[in-house]
Amino acid sequence: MPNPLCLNRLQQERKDWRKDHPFGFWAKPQKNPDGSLNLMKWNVGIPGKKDTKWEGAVFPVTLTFPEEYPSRPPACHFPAGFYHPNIYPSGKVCLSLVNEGESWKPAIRVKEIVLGIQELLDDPNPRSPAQEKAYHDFVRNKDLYNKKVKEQVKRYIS
Amino acid sequence: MDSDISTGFTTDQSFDAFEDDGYDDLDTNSVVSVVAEEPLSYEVPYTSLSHEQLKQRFVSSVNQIQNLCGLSHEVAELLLIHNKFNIEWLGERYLDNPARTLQSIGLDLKYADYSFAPRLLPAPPNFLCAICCDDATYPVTFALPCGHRYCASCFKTYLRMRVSEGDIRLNCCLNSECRFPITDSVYKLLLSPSDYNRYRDQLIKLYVNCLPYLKWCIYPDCTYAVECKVNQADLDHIIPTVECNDGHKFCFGCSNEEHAPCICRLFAKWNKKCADDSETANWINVHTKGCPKCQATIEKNGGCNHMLCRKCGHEWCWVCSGPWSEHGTAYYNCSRYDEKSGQEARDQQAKSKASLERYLHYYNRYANHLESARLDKKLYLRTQKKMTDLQNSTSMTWIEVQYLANASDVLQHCRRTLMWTYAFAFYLERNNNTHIFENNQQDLELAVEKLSEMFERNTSELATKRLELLDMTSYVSTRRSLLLKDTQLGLLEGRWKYNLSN
Repeated sequence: MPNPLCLNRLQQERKDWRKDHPFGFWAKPQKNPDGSLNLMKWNVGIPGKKDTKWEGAVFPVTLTFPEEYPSRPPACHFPAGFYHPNIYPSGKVCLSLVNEGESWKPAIRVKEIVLGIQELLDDPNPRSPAQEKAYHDFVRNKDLYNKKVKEQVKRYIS
Repeated sequence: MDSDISTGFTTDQSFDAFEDDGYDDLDTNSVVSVVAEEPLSYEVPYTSLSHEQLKQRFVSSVNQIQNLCGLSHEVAELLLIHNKFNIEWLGERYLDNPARTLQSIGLDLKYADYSFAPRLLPAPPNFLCAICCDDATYPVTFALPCGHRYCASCFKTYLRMRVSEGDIRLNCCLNSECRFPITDSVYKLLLSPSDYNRYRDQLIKLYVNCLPYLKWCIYPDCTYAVECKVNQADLDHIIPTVECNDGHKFCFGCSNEEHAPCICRLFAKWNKKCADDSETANWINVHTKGCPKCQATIEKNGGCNHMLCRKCGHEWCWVCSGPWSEHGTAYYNCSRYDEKSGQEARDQQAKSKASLERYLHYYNRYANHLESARLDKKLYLRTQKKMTDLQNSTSMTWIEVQYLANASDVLQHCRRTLMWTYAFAFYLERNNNTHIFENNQQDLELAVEKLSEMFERNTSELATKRLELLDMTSYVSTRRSLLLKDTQLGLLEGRWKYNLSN
């Protein structure tokens, strides 16, 4: 049973999100097999930023909240194999905002997390690469990198 | 005792604990100093510090910065932690640009001498904690001077987690954009006493880890640290052996076991070599031969003497290493051992084997002393029993039988030194200086084995040969001292030439 502190906060997050959230995004807790909501795991959709090569698609991300949330950050995953310099082959996002011991603070909201991830898409951080392929393309062969990003965007246009 | 032994004696400034024990009228030549008063040339100055002393040092560094920069104690401490406890650097940096320095820990200039008396407050009306979003009634809330108020339990949970994970460098307000730092008084208010102590302990740990001239004793669970100002660049001619107040000896340079007279660099090289190939080399040595043509290592696991190298296709005889072409059909008997062609091939093999054998020569002696040191430890435990026996069976007092404990200590210490003389010698080029080193080594080894032998005697004999044992102990100590002194001198003079190709 998840601790009540964590559930309280997640319920509030859910309420706040429904009241107001950034345009083009969506976020909802997953469903348990019995149809009830699993607040510990959310599916969210993050749109590529306007006027960037990521525009046009909405990328699926899973937020997994630990028992110790909000003292600890949620783990954020794209689908495995997602092409981006700061996303591990497993799909895990490497972003200081959601890294424990880096910039994570208990007061950071889901809204800020998803906006942070959206920002990361077109503004990768070459100082902390998480996958070899996209990182090498990004620093050595920008044309190839752009081409692959566009291919990926096409795959996620619904 | 033969004359050779007495040459090692230094009878001037002799002093030891036994001088006033009723043997004053004995030949002065046989009572010899074990403890040198002056620092020896091969020793480095160092200080062992207890946890309490470290705390005091930490506080005095904070005070120094506090006074120098006109800061409050809390702010000075935070700045010091954030700047890796580098007082000189921080002092300059602060005097140069106080605003920017304070900014680096999230503080405004007006907080320079800020002294916070943190308080818990009841929740204001309509308060909803943004962390836990619990809308129950809040007993207490807390905010740093920045004003971001959350319930105290959220603050506590977060801080406790940060401390338990060792993230103590710079914690700040929970608001995602606020960088207002959490200072000592806040930790004290919000953490339980045991968690707060843990936090303070971690600060001390960080303090030692950040300063290059402080190191923790390497022994598990030992709480002492040692201060030693030795430069990393000097480790090629200094072997900074230090000892914490708990009697643990270790090398300050590389944080490993004591390894004089072997320098840190060679110590690491030797360890790597031993880990890499000692066992394998042993096995290869016993079970294989190198192909006389290409030196490929070949194991003969059955069959006749006719060898066909899989690598170069050379056919040869296992027994004489000569070419098979000269053997005809003598598949299981080699009668050509002394023929010239076989002789040459064997020479070739011998050459490649020689370097291996050389290594094994040094390794075996090194390992022997390692093993003997282990046995000596057992011996030490038996010594304690012998000492009790001696006290009971003779009229000796507790203090009088301590010479056995001392002898045992010296024995163990010398074995360790001998071990590392072999590792050191392995890397030395063959020349006259090396020859002298090996003579010293041999002298020490002979003396150590003699002492070890004397130690094995039974209790009654030990009592009567007390002086002999005392003499031997001090002789062994002197020999060790001479060896280390000469090695150290050689290091400073650059007398030792290394052969690092092995």
